[in-house]
Amino acid sequence: MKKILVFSLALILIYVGVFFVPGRVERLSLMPDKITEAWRFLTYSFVHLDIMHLIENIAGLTLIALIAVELRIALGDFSSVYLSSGFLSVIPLWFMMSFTALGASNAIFGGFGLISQETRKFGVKVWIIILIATLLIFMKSFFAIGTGEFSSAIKQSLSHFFGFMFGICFFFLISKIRSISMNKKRSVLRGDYR
Amino acid sequence: MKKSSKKSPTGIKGLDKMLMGGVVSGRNTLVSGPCGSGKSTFAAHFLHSGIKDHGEKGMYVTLEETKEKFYNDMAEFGMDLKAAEKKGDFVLVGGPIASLHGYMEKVNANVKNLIEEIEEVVKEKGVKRVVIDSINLLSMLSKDDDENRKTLAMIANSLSALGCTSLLISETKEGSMDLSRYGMEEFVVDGVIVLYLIREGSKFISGVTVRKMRGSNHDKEIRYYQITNKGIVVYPQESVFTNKMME
Ligand SMILES: Nc1ncnc2c1ncn2[C@@H]1O[C@H](COP(=O)(O)OP(=O)(O)OP(=O)(O)O)[C@@H](O)[C@H]1O
Ligand SMILES: [Mg+2]
Repeated sequence: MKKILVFSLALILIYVGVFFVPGRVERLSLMPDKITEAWRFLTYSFVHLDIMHLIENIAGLTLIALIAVELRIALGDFSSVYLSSGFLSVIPLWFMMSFTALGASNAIFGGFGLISQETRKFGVKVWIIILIATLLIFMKSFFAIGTGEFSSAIKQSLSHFFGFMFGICFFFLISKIRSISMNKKRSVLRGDYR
Repeated sequence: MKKSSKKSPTGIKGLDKMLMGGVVSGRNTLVSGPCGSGKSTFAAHFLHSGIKDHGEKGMYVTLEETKEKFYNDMAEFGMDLKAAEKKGDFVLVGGPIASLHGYMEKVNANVKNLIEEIEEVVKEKGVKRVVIDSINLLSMLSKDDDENRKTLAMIANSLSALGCTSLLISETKEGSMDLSRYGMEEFVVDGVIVLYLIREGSKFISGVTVRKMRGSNHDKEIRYYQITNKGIVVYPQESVFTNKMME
C-alpha cells in the first residue's frame, strides 16, 4: 500500500481514538487562558469538537492524501508539511486573536498548500490554484458578513488561510534546502583535489 | 550493401587500422589491461585526437590521480591537454579516490549522484568523448554489489543516451586473461579492447587485441605495441606471436 495512505490512516485512527477521550475538548484543545499547559500545543490538532467536525476533517485528509498519491508526492514532504502546518500555522493567529484552537483543518490546508505547489509538475499555473483556494477559504466569511456568525467565520477563514500559506512556505523552504544539498552532491567530481 | 556503423578514430594509428577506422561512435568501449599497461595514455590519445582532429570536446573522469599529475604525464607524450582545457575543449573532473570518497561521505553523496554530475557536465559543455578511468575505482565507491552492478549499466546507458563515444577503463589483475575484474563489464559495452603484458623470460611483451566491436569487423590477432615518447604505438603488422618468434 502507498506510504502516504498508511500515514493518513494512522492519523485517522488517532483522530478517532482521541474523539473518545472523555472531556477531550476541555483537556486537550488550545485555550488562551490555559497557556501554561504546554502539552496542549501538541494535542490540539488531534482533537475534534463534534462528530461533524471529525468527519469533515477525515474527509479532508483522505482527499489530500489521495491527491498527493496521484501527484507522486514523497511521504517525507507530505508528512512534514502536514504535521508542521497542523502544529504551527495557527499559532500566530491564535496569539493575535485569542480563541480556542482545535482540530486538524490547518494541517489539511497546509496539505492543500503543498499540493498547489506540486501541480507545477503538470504545468498547472500555481497562482491560479492559490487564487481559487483563497476565494474558497474566504467564501464562508463573505456570506457571513452582517450576521452574528461573522466574527467566528472570519477567524476560521483566516486560520485556514494561514494553514494554506504555511504549507506553501514550508514546502518552498524544504525544497530550497534540498536543492542546496543536492548541488553539493552534484559537485563532487568537480571539486578541487590536490 | 549494409551501411556500417560510424567510427571514431582513437588517434592511435595502428590500433585504428585494427579497428577498421576506430571505435563505434556513440557507443561504449571497454579498455582493459593490467597496471602500467598504458590505459590512461590510451585515454589521453583518444581525447586529444578527438579535440585536435575531429573537433569533439572531451571529458576525462579520473578516480586515480590529480589533475596536475595527469597533465604532466601526458605532456611527456606531447599531448597538451592543459591548453585544451583553457580553450574549453577539454574538461578533467575527479581526483584521487580517497579524497573523493571523503568528500562524498561529507555531503552524503552516492555513485548515482556522480553519474548525474557527469551527465550535467556533458550537457553543459557539449562533450562528445568521455573516458572513465577507471570503472574499478568507480565501483569501489558503491555501497554494495547490487549498487555496483546498477552503476555500470547506468553509466553505460546514460553516456550513449547523451550521444557520447566513451571509453570505460578497467584494470585487470596481473597476468590474468580475464577481460574485466568482475566478469560482467564486457556485457554492458559495445566493444572490448584488451591490453596484455605477457611475460617472456625476464621481460614483458605488450600486446593489444580487439575482443569485440559490435556492428563492425576488426582484426582478431593480438598485436604488438609499445609505449614510446610519443605515447602508444601499435604495430598492426606484427602479432605478438611472430614477434616472439623473431626474438
Ligand atoms: N616517456 C615514456 N616513454 C616510454 N614509456 C613511458 C614513458 N612514460 C611512461 N611510460 C610508460 O607508460 C606507463 C604508464 O602508462 P599509463 O599510466 O597510461 O598506464 P595505466 O595502465 O594507466 O597504469 P595504471 O594502472 O597505473 O593506471 C608507465 O608504466 C611506463 O612504463
Ligand atoms: Mg592509469
